[in-house]
Amino acid sequence: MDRRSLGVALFVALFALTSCADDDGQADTSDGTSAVDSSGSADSTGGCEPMDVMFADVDESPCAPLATDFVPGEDDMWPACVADSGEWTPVEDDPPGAADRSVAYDDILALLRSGTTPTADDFNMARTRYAVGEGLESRLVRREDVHFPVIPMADQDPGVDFDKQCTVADNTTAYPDRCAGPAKMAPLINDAFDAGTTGMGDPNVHAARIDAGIAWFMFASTYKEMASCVQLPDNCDSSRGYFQGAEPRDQPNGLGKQIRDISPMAYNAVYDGMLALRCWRDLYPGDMDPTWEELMTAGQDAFASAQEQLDNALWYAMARLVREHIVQQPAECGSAADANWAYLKVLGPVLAPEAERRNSVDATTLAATFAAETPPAPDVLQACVAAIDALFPCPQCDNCTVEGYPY
Amino acid sequence: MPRHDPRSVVGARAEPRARAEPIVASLPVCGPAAPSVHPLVGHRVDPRADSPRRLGDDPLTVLHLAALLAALRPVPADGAGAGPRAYAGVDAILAPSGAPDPASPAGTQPPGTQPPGTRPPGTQPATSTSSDAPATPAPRSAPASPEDYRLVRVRTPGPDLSEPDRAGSVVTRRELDERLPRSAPDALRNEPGVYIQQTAHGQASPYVRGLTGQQTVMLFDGVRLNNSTFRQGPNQYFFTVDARSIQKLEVIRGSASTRYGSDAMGGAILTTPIEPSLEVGKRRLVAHSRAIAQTATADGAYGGRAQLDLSYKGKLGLYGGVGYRRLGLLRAGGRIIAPATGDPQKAPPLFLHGDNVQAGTGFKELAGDVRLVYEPNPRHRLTVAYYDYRQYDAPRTDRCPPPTAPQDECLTYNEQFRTLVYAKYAMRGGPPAAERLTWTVSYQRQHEDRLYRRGSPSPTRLTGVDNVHSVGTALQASTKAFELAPWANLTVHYGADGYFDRVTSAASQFYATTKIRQDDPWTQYTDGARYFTSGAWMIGELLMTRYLRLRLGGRGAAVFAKAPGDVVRVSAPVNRYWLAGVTTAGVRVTPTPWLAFLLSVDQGFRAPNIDDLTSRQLTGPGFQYENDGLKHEKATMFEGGIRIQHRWIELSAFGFQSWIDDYIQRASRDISACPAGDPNCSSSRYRFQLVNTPGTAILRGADGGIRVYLPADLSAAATFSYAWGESPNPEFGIIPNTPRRAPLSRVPPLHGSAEAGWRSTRWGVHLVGALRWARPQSRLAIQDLRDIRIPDGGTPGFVVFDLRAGYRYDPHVLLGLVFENVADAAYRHHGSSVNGAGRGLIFEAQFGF
Repeated sequence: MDRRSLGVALFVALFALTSCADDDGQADTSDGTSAVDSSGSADSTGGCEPMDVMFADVDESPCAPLATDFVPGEDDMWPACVADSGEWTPVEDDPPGAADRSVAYDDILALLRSGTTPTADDFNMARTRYAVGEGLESRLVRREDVHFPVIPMADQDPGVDFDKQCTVADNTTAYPDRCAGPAKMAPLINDAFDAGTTGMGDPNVHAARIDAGIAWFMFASTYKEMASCVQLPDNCDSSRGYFQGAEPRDQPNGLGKQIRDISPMAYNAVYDGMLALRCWRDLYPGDMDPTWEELMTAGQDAFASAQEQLDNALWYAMARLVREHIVQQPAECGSAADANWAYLKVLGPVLAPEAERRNSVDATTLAATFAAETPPAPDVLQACVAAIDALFPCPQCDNCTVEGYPY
Repeated sequence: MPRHDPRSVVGARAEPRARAEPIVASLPVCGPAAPSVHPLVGHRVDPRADSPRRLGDDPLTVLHLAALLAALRPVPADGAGAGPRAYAGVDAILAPSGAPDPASPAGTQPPGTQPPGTRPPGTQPATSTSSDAPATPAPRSAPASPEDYRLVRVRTPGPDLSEPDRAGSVVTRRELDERLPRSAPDALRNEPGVYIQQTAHGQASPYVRGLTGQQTVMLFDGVRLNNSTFRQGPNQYFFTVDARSIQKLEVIRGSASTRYGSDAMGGAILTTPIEPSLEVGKRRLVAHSRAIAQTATADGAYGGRAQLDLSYKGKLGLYGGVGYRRLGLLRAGGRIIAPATGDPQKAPPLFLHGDNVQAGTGFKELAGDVRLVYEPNPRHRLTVAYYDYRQYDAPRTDRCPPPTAPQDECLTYNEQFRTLVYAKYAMRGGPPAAERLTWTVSYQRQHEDRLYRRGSPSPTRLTGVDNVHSVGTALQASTKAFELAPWANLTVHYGADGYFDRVTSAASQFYATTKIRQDDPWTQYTDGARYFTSGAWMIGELLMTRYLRLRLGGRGAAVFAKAPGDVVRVSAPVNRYWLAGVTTAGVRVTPTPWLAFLLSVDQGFRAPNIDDLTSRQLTGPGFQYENDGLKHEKATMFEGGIRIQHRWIELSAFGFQSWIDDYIQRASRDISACPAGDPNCSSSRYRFQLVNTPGTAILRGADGGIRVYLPADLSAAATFSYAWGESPNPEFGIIPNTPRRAPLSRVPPLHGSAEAGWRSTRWGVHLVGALRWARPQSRLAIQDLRDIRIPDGGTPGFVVFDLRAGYRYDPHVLLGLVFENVADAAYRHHGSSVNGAGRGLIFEAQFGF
């Protein structure tokens, strides 16, 4: 057992020791019932039997790198660089704190999504891990989703950097899409933890919402950190930390592991996209602190190309994650079905902005599906999967563009 | 015509006219004395009450004549040709010795600063003009009854330094009344060799010759304030000394561990509290009350203090006070400009309401003190004292908010308390082996309650509560001056001290929405840690003729640290001890009465403390975790300087170099080195561990000051300070492209002060213009580059101009006004999170009865 594994194990063990819940291990609820027994969530499928619904298979065979993509070790358009080995060479020797947040995500899933219904104590322990000093919550409450436009200059606080405008409360309210962390992710996760720790509602649903909320954060952070790598070179490392825990390529954890388990191609495409940006960073070193303007056209174009490669791969990866849960939905019953749908209601709409850019009709299908309060009928789910497959057929997208810098 | 005491001129050590006068007054024996005005707190006292403890607080001091008579030998009126024989007695009482006067009520040092023969021209040896007092001092062989004493005032020019053969300076109550500092550290801003860093409005840490925090030692009335949780780098603890209870502050610059023990590597800061007056009046019980009100516009501060001075038959005195102050958001002159970018520095601090008001500032404080003194006769004095300082709701500016966090995220010190209780016995005129002696027994509690409030989308509150209970005792004594030869006298100062700390530490997470509190195993310190620092020391002073004084001494120290292992926190048990020996040696050459050349070699040491050995905390540059294998730091300082104390000019200038072995500083650490399972470490952007730097760190520099006395009560003064530090780079070979040696962290830039003014001895009015300035500091350690408190490229220089005015009508009224930062300059002291106050007024009014 390596040191980190030991640390994770210790973490779980010591919180079990230090939890301040009642002797029976369950927090009191306001009505005196225990958390486990207090499921108030209606079983919307009511005594259902798992359904065997047919969904189209995913066909990744037509997918191939674009001519502009960076492909490690291949004869691509990119000059030789440090990323050609296919492994990540850290920009800074010091691993990023983001890596621990990815570990924290797994720790939380181990407590809340282990296959058994989590108790209030489980939620308490998970929340402690979530809320630790420089942990997940500390970054989530400030996270911007840079897929959305920059807050207009007129509304920016002049005393705050342009990329930190979401730390201003007024901007969080006015621009919830851009300020997704404080405006959307944090409230849903806080609500889920509040309910889970106090024994209100269905613990599995709360756990699923927390899972989806953190996955959303990891996705947004992977992209954001790579974007801010222009000015902060070590953010390249952070991006990888958020995606797969800054581990070797074949040993991911966190979001990366989930995606690799679903689609190795999607995982590898994201990893190669990150390597494209690492290659760019190698070709345009950050130790001279070049500004965006100083990168000149060649450097800017290379960055845009790498960023687009990563972005498309990430969208595909997230689409596969959502698709996987949609496909799973008919096979679930009771609390598990509600939990799965709660997960999808959080993570499904995350695809919306890119879906809208690619095809508004399919995007509407997605939006309508995820707007349902209860799990839709199988045919709706099938239509949704078809729309996803049409929107996100491959990790590459030939005619997609991303927001230019500054993001 | 307003009535004022000629001694009461603000900035009294700068009063040429008084200096030119011969030694002054006398009083009838055991009779009621005509009241005069207390020179320091402004109320009416009997000069008899102004015992030798006051010496040096003002050029005019009063001595118990009996002691003087017992000590003095016949001296020619002009002092000519008088060698140590002639002055030895005076030296023992009012003049300097290289070590503190143990019997001084301040516990630090004896009166006077001048060695024999360095009295300014025009002054005389102590005499009495009383008709029933001998015109010439009696020989020592004529013992005086303890009751048979008179009082004389003796002018002792220059600052009252505990260690006159070392670089040092003093801030008197009068200077505090003139400068109106916001805190005890703020009172030291103009002192040579001192630089005040402020991480928050309610926190400040004095750097002395480039070192601060655990590498300088602070004493309050002889009681050690440093405890085992003083952390590396700046800390807030000197802020917990209430400036309004201070009679005198003294800074001894450079290593001083022989006398002051562990931590005294950069220097020592000695605080002397206000004493009861022990006034003899027409009634047995004499009472004086005083009300003080202060306000400041830059931070919307307002507050006050009420104090009471009771004397019963001149032998039992009680002095007490209670004060409250509330400070709002601090308005600065604006943002400073980051040298590397030319752009205004952004957070920290976060500016509100345009570019002036700084978030993460403001606090409240409540302070109280009681001091009971029983002095049955001049030889014995017993003091029991209680000091309590309570600071509330003090945000740490650099984390309110952290640079990329929601703007309402904030680390606040809900409570920062210091409680000090001690008893002190002082004796004079004891047996030859312990002619003077003091013994203190103390208890101190430091309490800290922190609240980290996550930004508004979150209900999370992270809390930490740490307490340090310290019990200590210190004994110090001085022998009489033994006459080794007609031209040589030897005095030996010696003592022992020991302080025991017990540390409790707790942490929790609290969620505001559910009211659930979870214990957090990752406390700042290992709960239940214990620490004991102790030592015994001896310093001999050999006075050879009036021209030469030699000093030689040493200390043996033993320090023990013990902390239990913690399986939950995953911290190893600590069971360490360190033994250290340090020495001091010095030469003072006094070719003329007003000129002295000083050379010193002093060693300092610092044993790792509980903070070094067990703490985990988020510091400015990143997360720092413990190292239980540290060795103690050892410093050797060489210092040379000149001191002039002439009736028209005072000057001191020193150069120094320190070599520090096993210097402790932060080194970057990889995630894999984090304490197992501690996510606070592994999730931090940067991680550090304290390490002993291989090789030798160097600190060198120069500091000093000059004061010129001009006619018509005009005077001018200036100070300067420069320090340059470098050490082997702990990152060398670990982080690519790092140099083999690197600057020491946060060493202050070249800085100083200048002032010119008029301090009327006749009208009780002062009007002073003052400049504070600092050059840019761009020599940054690697951790400085990661420190968000330091702008890109370093901290820009500044010049700040203040005007001060005041009026004193003793003992009833004292008015002080400071027009600070007249030009509304934007400035910041290097390493600080908070910018200096913008243009504003500070006003204080005191009314006494």
